[in-house]
Amino acid sequence: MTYVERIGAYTLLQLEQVRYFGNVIGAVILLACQPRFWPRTVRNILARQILFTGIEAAGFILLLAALVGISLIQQAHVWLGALGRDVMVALVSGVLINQIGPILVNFVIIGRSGTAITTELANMRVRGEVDVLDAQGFDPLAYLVLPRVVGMMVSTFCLSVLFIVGALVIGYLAGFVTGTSTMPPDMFVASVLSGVTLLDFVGLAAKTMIPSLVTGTLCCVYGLGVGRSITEIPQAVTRAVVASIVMLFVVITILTVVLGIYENV
Amino acid sequence: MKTSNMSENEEPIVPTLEFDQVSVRSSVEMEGVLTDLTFDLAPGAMLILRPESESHSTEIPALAAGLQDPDSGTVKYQGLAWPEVGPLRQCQLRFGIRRVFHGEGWVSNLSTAENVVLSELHHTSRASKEVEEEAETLAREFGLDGLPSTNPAWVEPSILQRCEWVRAFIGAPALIFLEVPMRGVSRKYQDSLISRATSTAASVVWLTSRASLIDAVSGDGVDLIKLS
Repeated sequence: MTYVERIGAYTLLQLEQVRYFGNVIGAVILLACQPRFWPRTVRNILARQILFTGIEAAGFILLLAALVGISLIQQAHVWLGALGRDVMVALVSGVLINQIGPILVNFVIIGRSGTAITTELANMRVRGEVDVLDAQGFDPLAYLVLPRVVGMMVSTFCLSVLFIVGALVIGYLAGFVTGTSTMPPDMFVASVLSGVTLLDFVGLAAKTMIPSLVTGTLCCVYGLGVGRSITEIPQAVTRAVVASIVMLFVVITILTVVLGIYENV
Repeated sequence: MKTSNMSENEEPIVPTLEFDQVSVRSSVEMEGVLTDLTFDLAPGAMLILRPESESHSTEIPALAAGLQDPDSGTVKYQGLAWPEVGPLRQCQLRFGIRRVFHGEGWVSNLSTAENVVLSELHHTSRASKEVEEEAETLAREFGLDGLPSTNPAWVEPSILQRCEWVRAFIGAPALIFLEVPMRGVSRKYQDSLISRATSTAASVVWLTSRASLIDAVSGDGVDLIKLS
């Protein structure tokens, strides 16, 4: 095989994988919209997933929010002279909502829950538990993938809102305590809201839920894609994390460009 | 080999399970092969499949459930050949097939009790309490003091095996595969299993080479096929 043929074969393989993942994502969306695919057992897994991915991660996200909020306020203090107080607050809140919040929370979710999902499903595959479920009439996509992906989507959105609100509130309080900000609370809230449009909220929902739909599906597919050897599990986790991070930035970039074009129009 | 396939008024009855000249020539996970296996199993009928030893696993339950394709021959469940059935319908049909698994048959991120009722709660709209009560009743019938709420990994093998019996008989299955059902279980519980298997409306396939069990189960209308 020539060098050019190898590049062609590699490209075709990658395109085939993209097509396969696209099909799985499409199937997850289709199943999620049909109530018959949400029996109590699937709803139970969804609840557990939200508990693990969302509620149990809330403390960690708040800690990150506090650290980011304090850093941002200190940085904003430096910009204050150049931009003016209202513009600065609006800019900080805009950056938090549009970029830092969704990206950071998606990162945390990939590292914390994506790896856990891949490991769990890969272990189930290696131990033959997926076959046991198959033998009992469970569709792995509807029973194993659907609730985990939707759980990740819901959790990512909620944690992003928590992160953004937490960063703003803690940042404001830190600025108040250290004396870097003397803005009254009502004026602070008004300044924040002045920099946020309806499109920002739409963008926040899109930038949290679409990447987590993609990364959640990737993590599930890589987990269920292992064979019978336990040594395949760490390899699957590594591949899932790398692919998820790449896809996170690809999706965020596409959404930012699309939303930017829409805003300018 | 045929079990009863005609009703009293001579209307043809669709067999629960049909194997027609089924052969599996190679298998990665299973020991041994199948050659030209043929049998019909009528609704409510019983069949004993005798492997060479209790440790000898077989593809027959996976073939019956459409989880594995034979190299040649046809497998029909309730008159339907698996390749002709769509994926969603396949899942619904498999719910009617219960198994006491030859190997590990548990999902490790659920408790044993959750595992037992999982399929019934997933595929039916029966009230959870009703299903759990039926499971508890069956558990007591098989000499258990209820179903363990711990992970299957922490449950004693003899208890775990009888929990598999509970899972196999709960609800209204159409076909039950009892794969080496007495493995690790005291013989004193054998009669309760036989009693339940003979009284169920489902077709039952015993996969066992245990002579005492075969003797106890064998009788009128019960066929025995020796697997080589």
